[in-house]
Amino acid sequence: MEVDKGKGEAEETRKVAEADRDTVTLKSSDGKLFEVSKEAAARLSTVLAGMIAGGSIDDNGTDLKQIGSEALENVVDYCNKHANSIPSAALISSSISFNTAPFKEPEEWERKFVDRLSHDALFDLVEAANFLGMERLLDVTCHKISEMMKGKSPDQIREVFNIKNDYTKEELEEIRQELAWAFYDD
Amino acid sequence: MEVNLHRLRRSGFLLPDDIIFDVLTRLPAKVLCRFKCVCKGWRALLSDQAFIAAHKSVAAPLIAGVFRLPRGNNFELRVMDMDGIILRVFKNMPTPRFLAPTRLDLICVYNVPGDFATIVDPAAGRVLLIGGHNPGVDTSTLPHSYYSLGRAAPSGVYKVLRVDVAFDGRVQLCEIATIDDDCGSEPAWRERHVPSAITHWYGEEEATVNGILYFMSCVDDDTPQGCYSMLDEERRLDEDG
Repeated sequence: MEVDKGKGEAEETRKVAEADRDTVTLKSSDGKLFEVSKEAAARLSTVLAGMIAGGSIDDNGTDLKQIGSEALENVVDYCNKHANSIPSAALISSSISFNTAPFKEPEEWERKFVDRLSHDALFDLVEAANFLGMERLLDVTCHKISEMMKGKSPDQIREVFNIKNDYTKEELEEIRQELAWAFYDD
Repeated sequence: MEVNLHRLRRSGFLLPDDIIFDVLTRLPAKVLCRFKCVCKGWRALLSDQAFIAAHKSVAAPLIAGVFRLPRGNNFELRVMDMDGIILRVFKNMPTPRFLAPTRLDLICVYNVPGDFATIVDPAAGRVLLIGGHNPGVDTSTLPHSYYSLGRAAPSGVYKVLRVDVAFDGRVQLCEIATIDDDCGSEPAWRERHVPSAITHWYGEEEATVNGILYFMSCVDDDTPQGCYSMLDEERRLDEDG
């Protein structure tokens, strides 16, 4: 009787401890573990928020088989940095412009955060953000990719995105003539 | 078995389509036109209505203007962004003179005497020449035509109104044409009765707002003479106004 009671109490204590933990452990496709603030994860990722609310977070590391360790490290790094960043009033007012686009310009630290990444790391991160439903990170990474694309020629774009040119020489020439204006700088 | 996107992409897998879509909507129109050369898939995507709509909702508004070149009697249409950077120039437009006042995604430029007008879709880079009266119309009595571009509300269909006038400015004929979605084919003109209240038309004092074409009387004073609904193709009388 007494043993059973003790076991029940221990179980209870463990559950309370689990609920009280303020971090969650995530496991990358290659088996590495990362700790991330539960509050930031729930706020920034709709998928993680759902898992936390639904109790499907594994204490020994929640499997994220779609995300490699490098990308997951960046995701966790982003969440932890975001948890500490409180946008100042100056930043908020400077972001108001005539442009009615819903996208809010990346903040300085977000810009630096994605600027240091290689193409591969950036692509991995954008996919991870997409998979985890991290709207803001997806916004910032997509913005960075579009910035990177602006000055590139179609040839360079094919190289970066690993796209096969499926036009014939004649077809390409035809489009180039039709869109000649787009190939000159002002 | 779970798919590992990470490894697939490394072995030559592209970014998912929805991410490519998202990234491309953030680029200026000029860059997008260049990227039509990347591959057939991108060209199809960049010409797709859903993409164009998404791009418009993200992109800042553009300004269009007709400029006369320093030498000769040449006019060109320039499309600029809000910083005044010229995104696109349409050069070979024989003596266009008037830019129909609009705040739309299409631009209408017409010449004097108005035997044709040019509808330009700056985002897609398409140019559609419209003109030519229907057979049976005696054009010798219609020396001038004025064009107005509008968007019917709430259907969102683009329509062009052409008012043909005699030498004295008296309105002889009203015609309406519907521009199809991709500005692809020359539209047919539908003749509409000339509302009795419209007597003279000089084409310059007008504006189209939310599907209603407002115009001024240039005969006696500058008070708005009336308005015309692009949707039902009937003049909305504003008898007291």
